[in-house]
Amino acid sequence: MAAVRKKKNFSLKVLSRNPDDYKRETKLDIHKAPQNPESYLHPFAVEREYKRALNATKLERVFAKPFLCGLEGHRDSIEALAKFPTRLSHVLSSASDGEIRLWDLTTKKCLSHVPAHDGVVHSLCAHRSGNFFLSCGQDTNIKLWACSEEGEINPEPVRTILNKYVYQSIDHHEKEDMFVACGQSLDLWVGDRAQPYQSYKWGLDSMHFVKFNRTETHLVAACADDRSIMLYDTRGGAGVSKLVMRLKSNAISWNPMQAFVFTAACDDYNLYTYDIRNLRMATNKHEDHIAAVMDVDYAPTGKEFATAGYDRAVRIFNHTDGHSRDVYHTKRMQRVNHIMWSMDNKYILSGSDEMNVRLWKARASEKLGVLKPREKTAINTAERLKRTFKDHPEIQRISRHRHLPRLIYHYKQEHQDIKESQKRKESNRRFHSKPGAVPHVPERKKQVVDVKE
Amino acid sequence: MAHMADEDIGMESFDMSDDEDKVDDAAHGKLISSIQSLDGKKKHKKTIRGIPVAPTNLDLVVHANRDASKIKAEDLKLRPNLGKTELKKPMSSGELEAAKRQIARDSMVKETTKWDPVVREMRLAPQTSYTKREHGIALYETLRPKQFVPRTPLEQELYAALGKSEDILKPDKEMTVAEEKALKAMSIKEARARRAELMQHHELLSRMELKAKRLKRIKSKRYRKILRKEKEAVDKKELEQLRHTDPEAFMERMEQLERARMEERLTLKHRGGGKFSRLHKAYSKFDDKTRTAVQDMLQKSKELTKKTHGDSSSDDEEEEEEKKKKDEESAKANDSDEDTGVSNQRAMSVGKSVSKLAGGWLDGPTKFVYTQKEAASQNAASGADEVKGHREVVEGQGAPPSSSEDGKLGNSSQKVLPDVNGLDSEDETGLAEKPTTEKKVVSKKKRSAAEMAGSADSEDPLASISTTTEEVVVEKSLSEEPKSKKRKKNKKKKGKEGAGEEVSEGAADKPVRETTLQAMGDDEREKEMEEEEEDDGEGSMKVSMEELFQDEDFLEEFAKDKAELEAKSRPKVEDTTLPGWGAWAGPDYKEMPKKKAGNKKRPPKKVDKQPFVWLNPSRDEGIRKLQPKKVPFPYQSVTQYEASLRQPVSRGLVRETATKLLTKPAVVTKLGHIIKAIDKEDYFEKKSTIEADDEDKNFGVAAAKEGGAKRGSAGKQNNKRRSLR
Repeated sequence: MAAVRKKKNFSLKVLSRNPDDYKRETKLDIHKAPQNPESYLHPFAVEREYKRALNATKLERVFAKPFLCGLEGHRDSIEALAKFPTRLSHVLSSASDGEIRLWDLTTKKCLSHVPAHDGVVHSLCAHRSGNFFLSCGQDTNIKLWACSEEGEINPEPVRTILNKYVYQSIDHHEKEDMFVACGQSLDLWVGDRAQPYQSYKWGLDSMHFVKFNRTETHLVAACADDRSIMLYDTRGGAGVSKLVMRLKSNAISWNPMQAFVFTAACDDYNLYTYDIRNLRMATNKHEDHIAAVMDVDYAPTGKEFATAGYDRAVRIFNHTDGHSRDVYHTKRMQRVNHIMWSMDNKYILSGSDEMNVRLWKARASEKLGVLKPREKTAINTAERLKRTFKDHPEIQRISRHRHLPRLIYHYKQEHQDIKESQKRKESNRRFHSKPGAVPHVPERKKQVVDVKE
Repeated sequence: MAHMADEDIGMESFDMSDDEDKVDDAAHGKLISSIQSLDGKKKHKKTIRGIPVAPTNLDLVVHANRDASKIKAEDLKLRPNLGKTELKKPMSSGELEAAKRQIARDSMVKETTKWDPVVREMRLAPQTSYTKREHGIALYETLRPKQFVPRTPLEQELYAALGKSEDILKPDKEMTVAEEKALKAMSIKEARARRAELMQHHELLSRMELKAKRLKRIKSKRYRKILRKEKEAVDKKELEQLRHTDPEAFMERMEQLERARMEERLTLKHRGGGKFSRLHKAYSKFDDKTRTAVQDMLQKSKELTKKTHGDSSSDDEEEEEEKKKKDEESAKANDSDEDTGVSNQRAMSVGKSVSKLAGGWLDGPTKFVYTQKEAASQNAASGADEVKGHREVVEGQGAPPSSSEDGKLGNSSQKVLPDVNGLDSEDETGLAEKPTTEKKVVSKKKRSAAEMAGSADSEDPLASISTTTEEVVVEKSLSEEPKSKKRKKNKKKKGKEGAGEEVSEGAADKPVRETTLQAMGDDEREKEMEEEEEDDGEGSMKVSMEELFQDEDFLEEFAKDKAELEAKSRPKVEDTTLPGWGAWAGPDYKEMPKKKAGNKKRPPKKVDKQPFVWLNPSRDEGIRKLQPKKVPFPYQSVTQYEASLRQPVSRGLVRETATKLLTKPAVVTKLGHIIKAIDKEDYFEKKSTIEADDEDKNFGVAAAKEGGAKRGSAGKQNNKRRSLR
């Protein structure tokens, strides 16, 4: 019998959707939520985003735990820190008792250590190949050490250079086999010579810090005890220029991305960024420390730098800002003498008086490790929102809030008062004297005493 | 002379670089110095620490070649000496240095200025990625710095002499000869025994350590429980022993235990929030024992947490309470009636407050109020009808009249008045309990009336009209005066509103005057109503807006209000100036007319562009705290800044691709990736590399000397580094 087909006399319309549009692919996937981005459907978009930015700012402060670990092992105060140009996880440190240690940052352990010098090891720097490093100490020797890929320092130096006087600082050229050391004079060694290839001197005072420019590699900057910063060209026999400031500068750091910019850590609690083409005025003055700034190191991106203060705090500055964006401190950290920014732009190392090398995160609330794409977009959005709304008072207040040690807190206020009173005095003097008798001197120029050419 | 001395030292340094020409010079210098010292006076030398280098013209030539244009023509020009051809005087060493520096500085400025566009680009870029930069795969030639090789005869001699020493470490051996000898001196047996002993000790120690660690790490609850029990048992035993041996210590111990127990109690552990107790609660459904246990526990916790009440209440309050109780007892009898009364009152007060909000104009037509009163009385008559009556009140005049009373209501509210009175009289006869309820209503009414009276003038006709209802009821309740007075006294004790009550009382005391006023109003209204009735037969209560607002000048009122509010929002300035120097400030002080401050003209008064709008300046105060005070740095105007905020970036608010674009991070780095400093070769072409390769490969003074004249030594050093790129 043939099947009787009923004639369809009505049609039923059913709402049907493609399941791909609303079903998730796997059980672990998130549920798909269709969203319509038409702006008229979201009348409170700005308000919502403000709230998101506020929450992101709060969370940033909640997760701001910058301290990672202390590298313990030295038996005297830290005298120098150095990084290898080819290794990320290995770091060198030396102490006042003449010991050099090589640390592995991934395991947070000391891989090897050698008693390098009699007395203080003044300075360390890695060889450009990354397999050697140089040290100079109180025993007037400069020593070249070899260390394996695994981080084993050969207990015997490859080479020892005997000198007449003590070298305070040493730095290796970025590309060539030459290094400079400074003490009574600035000496340039090339190859395996026993005597310096070139010796520079400008003035009678000894120098305590030297650094090669990393881009214009023939330029060397040195800090001397007569409150001066000197620039030398290794291609010539004489200096280039000499800047004398009101107070001594302890260290300088070249901006790795801007060949003509360096920042000097000064004894007057401030840092000054200079353009070497015009040393008569700093391009920027970075305030916030409440004691002498002992060391400074640029981030490899050239956008930030970290500073070590005698006030027991580490501060981080944006290179264009006059005030720090963050301050790190711990209860037990004493005077910080050395600071170093790791070459992956993630970590900061600080060496302080109480024999510890400390490892910090460069951004206090950053999540370490591999991020999922979703996490990454969420973080990027939050960052962007924070940037957009950063000038709103509440967000500003939360993002700037820090717990400071009592000492720093009070001294900061005191310094503020001092500065204000000085300003007031100056304006009063200007008011009560002949017009033009008390000229306006910009803050960035006040510290410059002289530029010798 | 000093210059010569400088030269002298310089020569010495060049001796080391075995430059034979200079040896003669040195000898010459020595000779000169010895001649100079012949007269016995020592020449004062400038002390220089370190190793100075004799100035050579070499570097000058190097830099000059690199940048020949920078040497100015005037420097080299000979002075036009008339007829004579003289050579220019040679530069002093200081001048020479300065010239060299000038050249070096010029070349530095030129070289670094090349970076300007690169740096600017980098500074302006919204995103900088550091991940594409290659890192440490540059290959260096197998670099093994050589051992020290003795070169000079002195060095060779010294090296040879030291080489015989036993203490020198040979490069191919582990120990020095002396050390090996020392090792051999110790007998093997002795050494071994010592070593074995040490090893044993070490092993023992490490075993103990391991065991302790293992024990510490055990997580088994059972083990821990057993351990704890054991400990407790031991403690108990000890305690028992103490009891006999040292009763004092025992007491102390017991005290400690008691204290611990008390502390535990203080922690309120027994509230039942713990996991254990929650589980027990769950079990308690099925088990009686546990249920009782749980209940006991809860009971205990309640006892523990219970607050002990102090005798803080005053006598007045007690009295009040007693009176309240009495009232309650008396009121209990007619509970239902009271309820209706209260509900009516509520409706009344709501109506009042609404009318107040509306600016008082709702008070004008008193019909609403009369119907309420009427409804209340109706309720009194028939308790069952109460809800309906209440509704009617709310609905107002819109409802059609159903009963005779309602009909009267519909016609005119004023006519109801006598009826109400009549009803009341009926009530007095019919229901014994009525008066109390009525009174309650009245008293509460009075309160609201008092509020009104307090705010407005009592003699104001409008106010009196608005309070007519109350007065009507007041008249009615005059007979129960003493009781109501008592009530008022109670209320006074509560101290809610003293003055208002008095006013209302006053109103109650003079019923005659009020009635006349009311009558006046009533007459007018009656007339109006009648007219209306004639106009539309249905008796609808429609009133045109004009009629409603006839009597009141709203614009004027608004202007007054506005001025008042503005004055309030303005900061107050008080003149606190005192009579100055030379002015009399003692007795009979008269205030002098104030001097006008110079030529200062007061700014002309602003013309109020919107006289009929009042913008409350303090309305947005809450949100203003959250807004930036000024336009932030890069923006020029508020609109610009607002525009920057208006673009949403979050995921749900814009499309996915837009989000990705808008939220690009400023700095992109890769995990574990070394970021190298910016490299010159990446941006600028390496100049004349071939030339450099061709030139001499041995690097040193000699090379620099020869090659210096040709070109800078910088290029030459490049061949030292061979990298794969």
